[in-house]
Amino acid sequence: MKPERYYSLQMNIHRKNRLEEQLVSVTDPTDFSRTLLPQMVEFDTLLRCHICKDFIKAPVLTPCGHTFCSLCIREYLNREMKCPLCLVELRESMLRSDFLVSEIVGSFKSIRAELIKFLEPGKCPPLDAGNQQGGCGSPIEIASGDPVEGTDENEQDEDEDDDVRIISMSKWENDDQQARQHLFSSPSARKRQRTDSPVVSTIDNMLVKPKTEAKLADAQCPICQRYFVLDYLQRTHLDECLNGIAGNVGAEEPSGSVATRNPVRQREPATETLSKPQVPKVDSEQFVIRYLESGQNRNFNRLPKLNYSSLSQSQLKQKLLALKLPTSGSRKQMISRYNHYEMLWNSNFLDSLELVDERELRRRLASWESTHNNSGSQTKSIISTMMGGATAKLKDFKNDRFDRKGWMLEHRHEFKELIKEARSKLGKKEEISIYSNHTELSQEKSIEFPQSQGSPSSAQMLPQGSQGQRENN
Amino acid sequence: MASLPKRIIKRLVSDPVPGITAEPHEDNLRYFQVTIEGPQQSPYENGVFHLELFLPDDYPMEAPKVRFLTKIYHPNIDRLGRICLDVLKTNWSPALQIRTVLLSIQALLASPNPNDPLANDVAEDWIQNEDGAIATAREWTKRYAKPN
Repeated sequence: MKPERYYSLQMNIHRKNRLEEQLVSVTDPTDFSRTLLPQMVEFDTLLRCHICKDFIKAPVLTPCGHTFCSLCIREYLNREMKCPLCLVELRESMLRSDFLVSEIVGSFKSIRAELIKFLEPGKCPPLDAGNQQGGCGSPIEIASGDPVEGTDENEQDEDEDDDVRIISMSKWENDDQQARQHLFSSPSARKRQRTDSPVVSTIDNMLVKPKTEAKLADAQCPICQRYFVLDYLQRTHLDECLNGIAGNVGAEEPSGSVATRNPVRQREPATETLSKPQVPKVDSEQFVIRYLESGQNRNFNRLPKLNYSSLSQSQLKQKLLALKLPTSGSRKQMISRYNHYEMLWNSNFLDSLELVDERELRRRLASWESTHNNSGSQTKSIISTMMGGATAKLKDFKNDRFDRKGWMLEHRHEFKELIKEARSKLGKKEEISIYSNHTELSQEKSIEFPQSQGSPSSAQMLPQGSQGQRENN
Repeated sequence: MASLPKRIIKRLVSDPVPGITAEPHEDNLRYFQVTIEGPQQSPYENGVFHLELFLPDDYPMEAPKVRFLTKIYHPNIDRLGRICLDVLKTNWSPALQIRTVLLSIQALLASPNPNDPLANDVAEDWIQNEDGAIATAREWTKRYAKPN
């Protein structure tokens, strides 16, 4: 007994550990609750879909002002036509893509792990330590993305001194205001063409401050994030930057232009000189650019809903074939296949900024079918493989018309085999009288078994017909 | 959607609800063993009730399946442990969370509704002889819902 018990205990511990390991990869708003900025729990929560509880993917906005993942809400609206949050009537056609939220979420996701690390207690001094402005997690630092503010007075970056930081910070604020004035006073500056391969002006190159100069450089351009002598920044560089001469990205919308910067040279001096201890930054421009470019190159049509009542079987199959979808299974299955594909398609091509191709959509459909759309045909295919050509007779299996005696006679041998097997397993105790029950049970079991098994591998679980179809594609 | 059960588990672990525990089954992360403490000033006070909770494949589009395992004398809970609660049936919304569902069940214990019964005999008893029904509920709690 003892070793067995020990073993099962070990197994339990092992399982627990495995679960904990699995949970580590799952993000949760409460990841922030033990950081220096527990208020981030709320922010993190707000960026999540109320249906899947994950970060919102391809967000859509409802007329009642609520935002969900495109796919989540479309799936729900296929069942109930109301908003999950306020229960107001809602139809799929009312949904509108929300690209800004999409990129806010994307941007936050990309910095989240770093942010948590950065906000770990003990890594930087509390808010009131040092000077008034330089506490950890003050909004200015987050906005400027300058990690030195948080790590000052720590062992890292001893070569940065506080005075310079304060100066540069107040200047930052000034410059920011000036930059805004610039922006709003020159609306013509907003419509710029993007230059894909930025031409770096030599003056710019000379004036980009290396590490030592950065201290004296006092001001950071709010547009391209590089450091310049204040005078130069105000008189020349800001205009250049806004005009795109310095290889900057022109902005089409005022809201975006403040933050729009050159993706290639972004923050180079900053990363080199100021954030040595930090993990290399991801390309933080991608979200801004993607947001600004959203709406372009969206030539995909909405996949329409079908009126199945006016659609014959062959018409429905044609619709599926036109989309390279399998036409196997019952009519009901084909309908739910089309419905799900329509949701995948529309949420991808209409609402997502991370487009995937149709092949990937079909793969997702197949993996969805393996867990959600298999009941009927799988049972059937299992039965037909088991029983050969006798499927037709099985139609009446569960009602009174089913010819039990005939069936038993016909499958005498198979039942005998099963009985033999059962007898060898259960020992001699079993009475003959319950054998008939047994066979029925085992039969039902084998029918239900594949349903109750949730298998991760989608291809295996696909109904046979559709698997063949997939191979054809 | 595959990570949803894990997300729920993590939530329950990192931010537990007072008076309620929910532990996932080792082999099936969609199956939870739940305990709910009987609310104070109710006939179920001082009782600990065991429930099972299952997240169907279609969760959260479909409501979770919840059932009492501990015997309980309550007009909205039948002898099989099935629960008559609007948010588990018609008023389910995918925006609801497991925690809110469990809290609703706890609230149902605090305020039985014999006018919308599931266990008809209990409900009748409740309407005709409320004090007696409450006494029975208290006795059942003492007998079946013993805290470990």
